[in-house]
Amino acid sequence: MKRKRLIIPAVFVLGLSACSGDTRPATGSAAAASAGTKAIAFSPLALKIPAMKGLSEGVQGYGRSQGYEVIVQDPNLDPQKQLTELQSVIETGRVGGAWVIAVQPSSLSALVKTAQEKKIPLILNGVPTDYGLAGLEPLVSFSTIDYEAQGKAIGEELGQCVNEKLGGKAEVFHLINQPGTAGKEQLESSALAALKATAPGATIVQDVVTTDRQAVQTGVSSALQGHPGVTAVLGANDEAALGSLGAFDAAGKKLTCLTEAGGNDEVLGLVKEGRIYASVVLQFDADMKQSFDALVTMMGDPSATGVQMTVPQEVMKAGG
Amino acid sequence: MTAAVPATEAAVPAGRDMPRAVTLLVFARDRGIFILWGAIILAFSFWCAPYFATLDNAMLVANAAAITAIFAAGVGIGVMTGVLDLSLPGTAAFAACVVGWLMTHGQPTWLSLTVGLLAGAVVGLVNGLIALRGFNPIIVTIGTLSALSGLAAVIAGGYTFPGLRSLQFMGTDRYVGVPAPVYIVAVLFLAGFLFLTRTRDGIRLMAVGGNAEAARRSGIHSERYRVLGFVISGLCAALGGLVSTAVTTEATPEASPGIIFNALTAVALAGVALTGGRGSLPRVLVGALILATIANGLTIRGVQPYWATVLTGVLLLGSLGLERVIQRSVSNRLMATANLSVHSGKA
Repeated sequence: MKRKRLIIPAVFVLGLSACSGDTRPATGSAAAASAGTKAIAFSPLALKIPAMKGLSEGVQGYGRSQGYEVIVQDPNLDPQKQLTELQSVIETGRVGGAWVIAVQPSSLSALVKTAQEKKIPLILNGVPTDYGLAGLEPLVSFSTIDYEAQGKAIGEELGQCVNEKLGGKAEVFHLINQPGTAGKEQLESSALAALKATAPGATIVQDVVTTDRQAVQTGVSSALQGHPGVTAVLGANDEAALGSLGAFDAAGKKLTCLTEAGGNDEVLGLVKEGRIYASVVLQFDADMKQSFDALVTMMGDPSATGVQMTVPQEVMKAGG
Repeated sequence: MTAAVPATEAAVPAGRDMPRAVTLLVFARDRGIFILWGAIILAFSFWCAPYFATLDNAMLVANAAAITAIFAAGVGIGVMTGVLDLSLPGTAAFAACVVGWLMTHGQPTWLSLTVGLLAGAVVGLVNGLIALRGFNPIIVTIGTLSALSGLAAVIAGGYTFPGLRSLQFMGTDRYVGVPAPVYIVAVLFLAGFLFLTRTRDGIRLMAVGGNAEAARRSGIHSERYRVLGFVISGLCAALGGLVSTAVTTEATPEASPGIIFNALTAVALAGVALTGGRGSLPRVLVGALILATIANGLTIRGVQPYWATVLTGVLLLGSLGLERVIQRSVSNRLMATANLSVHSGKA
């Protein structure tokens, strides 16, 4: 009886393997093509992030217009889940290419090599070294966000706001990204440096970690108890900005200066209203087209060396 | 008079039939999960042809299930011992960051891994010792989860430990085509299974989970075994954290709540009684494999990601309901059989 308990799972593992026979598709693009599909996987950070959700819909729409089936995945900010989901479609040859916005780029190093072996092109966020590559290689192109420029912009804009509206002095909350978020260090350090250079009288009194909007709102509300004199917020992303505004509203306080990086529709509306001083907006629509086109180009010519792209960004200000 | 005999005889065969029905029900309860997994594999083999039923994909499913299985082993053994350890994600993050810190400070890999695993065992020991003081284990482990997540972030300085490539031997490397985590799971489950079913301590551990007071009255140090349950749970959590780190080559202080959700789902699918004392590690492994198979099939098919969560939840509720129905049915039939035996004068 006990022996049976061990044997049964083993039989199923073997059974699953045995189902394989020789039905395994040859490799990557060829397999996808032979199955009559032009499928591409899109793996963003998480669909719960409005910008990512919007981007995924854009990719699906643009892909359809180009004759491609786009399989959207949802890693939900979990690098392990992202890796597993991508393996499922790349190693089985389900897709002929993949566009990945990696939660933890280093976790995909082995997958990049596998995709190259199977001749499945990838578009990845970041730069080659993030994935253990020495430089640009065939079948892999990169689209990077210039986090330093982004951080510098939000820091400078907040400094300008403090100088213009608060007489050059302010207590500031710094809304930081979660550990492991891509570009965290570059964005935050350049933002702080730019703020210090532009408005030396601005003082960071507390860091608040950004998770989701509600958590930010709770965190900022609590932080306000200890620092009721805060009038400025340096936000790492949309959730940070929106959560902070909610917390200040709930406390009946005015948030005079708020800058952030992201720029979803709600944030842009608040920029227009003047409630957010500036937003450094990533031009995902333009990036989506350039990335998708680069992926299709690599699928057509697997021997071509990949390219390094940069996500265009623009500073949006009230009346600007 | 002659008519009375067939009537009595008719009642006895019906009573004899009862055990067969009970046997079938018990079989469905104990082995149903294997049949369910087989059915899921079969369904996806057709629905996701030609991508699903391949050897490569079988390895992917096994690999994807590995980490959930490790955590589920921790939860499962804990639950069988009467201990629900919710600190697993925190323990995993803490152990990973300890290893990350040691490795980035020049310590050899073997030493770092050993210390990481020990850290998990110590966390389990602390959880157990606190719980023995009469505190609710769920609250204790929630507290530990919070404390450990914070500690992990302190160790990592708010960032992560990237580039831990020397851990790839137990993460992304394959041996004879099989991913390293699959071997780790195989060893863990075999050891756990043998421990729980073939050793005195393992059997006592289960007995304590079933009824701590009865075990105590029969001379077993039930408190010692409850602490052991926590220690094993902590050890499994640390191992899960280290394997996760090895797969991603990055130690992160973020304690993902999804870990405990997936592990508990696998354990519940396996029919492990949350009241303790009953359960089977091989079934827990199949529970984890079912989750991975569903996620893999739906991903290959390109189904909207939300449906995987919906399907998993529905499956869990369905299996819980089915287990309840079967359990009640078994009890009723056994009771009926017992009554029949008493009234017919047959033991």
